[in-house]
Amino acid sequence: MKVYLITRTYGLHLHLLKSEDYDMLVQGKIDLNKLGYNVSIEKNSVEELLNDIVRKFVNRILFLEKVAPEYSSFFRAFLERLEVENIKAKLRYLHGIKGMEYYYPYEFLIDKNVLISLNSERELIEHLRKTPLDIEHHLKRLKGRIEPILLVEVLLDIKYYEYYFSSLRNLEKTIFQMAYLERIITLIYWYMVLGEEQVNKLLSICNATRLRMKEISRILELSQEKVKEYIENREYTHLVEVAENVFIRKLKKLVLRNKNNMFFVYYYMFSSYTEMRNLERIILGRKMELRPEIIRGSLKILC
Amino acid sequence: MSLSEIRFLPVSRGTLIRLKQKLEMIERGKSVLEMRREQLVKEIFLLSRKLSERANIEHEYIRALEDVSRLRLLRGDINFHSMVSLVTPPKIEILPTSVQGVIVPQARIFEEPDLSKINDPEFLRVFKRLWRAIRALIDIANLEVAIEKLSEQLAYINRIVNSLEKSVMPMYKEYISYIEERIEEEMIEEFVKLKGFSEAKERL
Repeated sequence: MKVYLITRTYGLHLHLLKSEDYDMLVQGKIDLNKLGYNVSIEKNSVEELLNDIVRKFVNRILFLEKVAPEYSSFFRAFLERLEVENIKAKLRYLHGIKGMEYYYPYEFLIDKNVLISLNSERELIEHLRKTPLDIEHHLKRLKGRIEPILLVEVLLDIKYYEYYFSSLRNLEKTIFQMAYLERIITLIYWYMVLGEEQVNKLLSICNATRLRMKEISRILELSQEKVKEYIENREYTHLVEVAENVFIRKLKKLVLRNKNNMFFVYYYMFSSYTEMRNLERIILGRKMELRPEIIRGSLKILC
Repeated sequence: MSLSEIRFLPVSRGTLIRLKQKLEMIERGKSVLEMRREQLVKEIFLLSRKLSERANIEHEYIRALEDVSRLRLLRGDINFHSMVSLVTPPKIEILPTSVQGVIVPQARIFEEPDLSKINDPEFLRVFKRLWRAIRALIDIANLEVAIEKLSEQLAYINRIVNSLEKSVMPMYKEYISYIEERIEEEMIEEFVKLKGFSEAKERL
């Protein structure tokens, strides 16, 4: 089944958008409905467009699950990043002013209607209790040390990567390497918001691997001073830009050496995810009438 | 007494005195209005000078909006939308305010937006920048409304001064001179009559 999955993935990979497609989309020379999507940037609202592109991404991953159910936990854990974003959004809606709530169209651990109906952070934490994202135990230990909303968000990220890593146990080490880099990119954000000491304290309390500045600078191929400068100036976007470029470079390099194993499936999954993110940026950019060069500059091209 | 009624007043010394008093009052009123006009012009010029900052403020507003849009683009719509929900919007009310005695509606910020729940440093930075630009725009909008209302008042005063100058005062002056002429004529007539009487008396 593994060989069949990889073979299918090769075929599916051909359907992903290319750099020229993005160029035409950015310039408005072509619409999404001409590229295999069911919506039009001109005619549909942002919400409808996002729902469609996210659904497409989810369906692509769920198709892989159908082809090779034995890797289901890997596929589901990969998709779970969307649900983590939804939970974080719900948390902010609970703390913020009441208004329209809007989420990614993906549910696995928590039913979307249940998520919308939750009225307090307490209820949300209770609903997560029976899932791999259970943070109740850590939350009780850490309450009062950090702003509640931040604490829940950082714990969700830590728990998500624990869950994600556990799904990679029987897969190639190279996938784990890339997933580890994904985790670093996420943790850089928390470095910026909470500081190195606080993040490492949280990681050790959660029995997760700690992250040192030295390691970040080595992986991102930047000097420690440069990383510190980015973090002190709170230039998250710039640092993540650098980190993502390193990530893509490594991903492209590794895929050349791992064409016939599960790494290619991971590469396809990440490419699909990148396509979704790129299309989201193009949609938002075009709807907000941003200059094409700004939109183009924000895209990550894998294919 | 309307302007058209003046023509129907009896030609007498009493009318002349009344009309002269009225003309004097109109002239006084006109000079008061002219002083007010000067005051308003001065105020409008003063406010207009501050309007020169508008281009910079608009530029800053566009830059702040671009920053917000770019952040929305990079962080994704769900993240952006939920982050925005953490901001308590500002409370702004429109109050009638007196500027040089003219009632001008002015936007007053009663409560600044509450950004305390935003912990993301980048979101916080761009939201703060946007709010600074919006606040400056509100000040400029207040200035513009004040100038508009003062200009309306100025135009109204101008119309009145013009009508006094071009229509009311000439009419009064004309009628006063008419009455004066008539009274003079009557006086000469009286004098001639009296002279005739005295000559007839002498002849007798």
